Amino acid sequence: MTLTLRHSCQRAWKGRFLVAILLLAWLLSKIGSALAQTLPPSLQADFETGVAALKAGRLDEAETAFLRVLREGGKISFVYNNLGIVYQMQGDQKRAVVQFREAIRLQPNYAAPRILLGASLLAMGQDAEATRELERAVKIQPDEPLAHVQLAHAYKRTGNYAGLVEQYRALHSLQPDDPEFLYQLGHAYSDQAEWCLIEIGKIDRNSVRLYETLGESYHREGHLDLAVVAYKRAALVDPKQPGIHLALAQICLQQGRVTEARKEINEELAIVPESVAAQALAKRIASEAAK
Amino acid sequence: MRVKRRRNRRVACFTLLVWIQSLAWLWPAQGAGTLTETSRLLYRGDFGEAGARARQYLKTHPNDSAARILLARALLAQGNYLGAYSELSRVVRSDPKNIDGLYYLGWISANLSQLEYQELARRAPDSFRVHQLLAESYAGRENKAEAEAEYLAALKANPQSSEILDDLGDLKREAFQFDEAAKYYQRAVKTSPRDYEGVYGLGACALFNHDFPKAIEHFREATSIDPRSSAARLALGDALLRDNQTVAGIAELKVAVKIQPDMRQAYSLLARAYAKLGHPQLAQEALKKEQELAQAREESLERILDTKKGLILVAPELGQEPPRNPQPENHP
Repeated sequence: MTLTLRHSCQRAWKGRFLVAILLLAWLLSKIGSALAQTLPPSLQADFETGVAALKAGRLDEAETAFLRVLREGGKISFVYNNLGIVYQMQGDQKRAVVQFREAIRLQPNYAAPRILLGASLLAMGQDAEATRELERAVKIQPDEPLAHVQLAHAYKRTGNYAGLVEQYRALHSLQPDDPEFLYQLGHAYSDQAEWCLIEIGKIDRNSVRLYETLGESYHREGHLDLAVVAYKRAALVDPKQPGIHLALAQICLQQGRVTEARKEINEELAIVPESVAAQALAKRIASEAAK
Repeated sequence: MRVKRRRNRRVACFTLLVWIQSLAWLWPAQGAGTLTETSRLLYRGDFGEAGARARQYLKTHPNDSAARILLARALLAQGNYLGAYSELSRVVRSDPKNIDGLYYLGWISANLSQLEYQELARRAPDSFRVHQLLAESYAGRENKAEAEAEYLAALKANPQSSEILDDLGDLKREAFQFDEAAKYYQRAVKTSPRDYEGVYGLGACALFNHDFPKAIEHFREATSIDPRSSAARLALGDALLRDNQTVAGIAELKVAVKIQPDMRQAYSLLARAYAKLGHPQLAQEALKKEQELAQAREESLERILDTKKGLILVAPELGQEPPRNPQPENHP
């Protein structure tokens, strides 16, 4: 249990830092065109200095340059956005959030600061608000993978596994050749499977479905004796549950215990006489018994 | 190997059919006739007709979870995994306490996970993720040697992966090879300085080597990276107690149980710490809580859930095909 928790936590953190780096690269690649469109020519040199410093990791220098641009009239959303990145990279999430919010206020349909705001809010533990911002970002720019990646992180943090799957499905559709998204999609499904079991346990800790699932897992893994124990426990919880005796019959047959297999399959057929699977297995058991 | 795969495929096909056929008791009184007949169609293996009838029924009863589960089972039997997933997601969204909805959604999610991993193995067979999955699969089956070999192959494919370095560290730590484990964790932390797993692992190695100040330092860092980690709080509390910083240790353990109220080990340590400080009543209370939790665990399915989690998260045998379009004649 502890190990599982630690693992998921670790993956989330790693993902977040990876995303921050990717976001920065993505954002910087888009700055050139935005700069040409809106920043007064007199401020372009300062702005470019800031961008170069940010790219080189000279964060204090970048902060100074962006603050100068803002002070001298360049109060444009992407300048606030970049200043927010500087603070985010310095680990000062609170100041980063202020800058991203200002960038959003100036340009509500600008997805980048919403994505970054979501990342900062997640780092601050404000998961619900982060999720809202990221959902808006995905709505604004549905073809932007990074928005989906961050939203996936938010959903994982908030236990929304259906949402997690949905985001990685979207990412896989956007970038079908990227094996990482395929892996993450597989992982998301696996997380959801685990969540379903936990939810069943919360509703009924003695649910026949839990024992049945356990039996199936052991059966699949080839641990037949353990599978029998789990299925028998399931049959105790609900003797009329279809499928349990069928599985037991199958295992008994696999183990060469034909008499017991026959007894189990008869019990199954008493519950569901029309079952073709049970009928087929009964025939096979009869043929084994005749040998 | 081939025989094993064939056997696994047979087992998977059989399991699938068992599910499809385990629906008869689900139907509510209203419309019971229609749904019972539909369920019989499933038992008889007439999946297309069963699906059509369930769909028809849902036109007039769109919120009927049992009918939707039936539709999902029919879709699944016809190989339409995503269609079935979509229907089951809808059931769980509208009826979150529906155990059968959760059960089938969990099952199909686990299988879709396997399909995605198999697709990954087909597309990028030598990628670090595939080696990682294989390693996890071996580790889940207690085959440590093969697990290590696959983790090393993963590391070769992606030398900067702190995830793999941590996994190797965990493997060594489980084998009580703490010095070797620490080397992997150190490499991980060097690659990603705020790598929780690496920092935690370093703390655990230091703890086992009785270097308590070092362990405390690492666990403190781990709690700063993830303040919500009850495991890191527990470990920090433990290290502080061992270092005779009992009051500080109790404070951390209290945080741990606040984050995770059913953390039995934390109560056990708290009992010892209170006893050491001369607070027998508090020690008794903590011990009582620990015993209650232990009893509850024994009586409940948590143990099984833990085991199951281990099983369900194990990567599939990558060469093994799950049933996409099972037919009755393929079953025993």
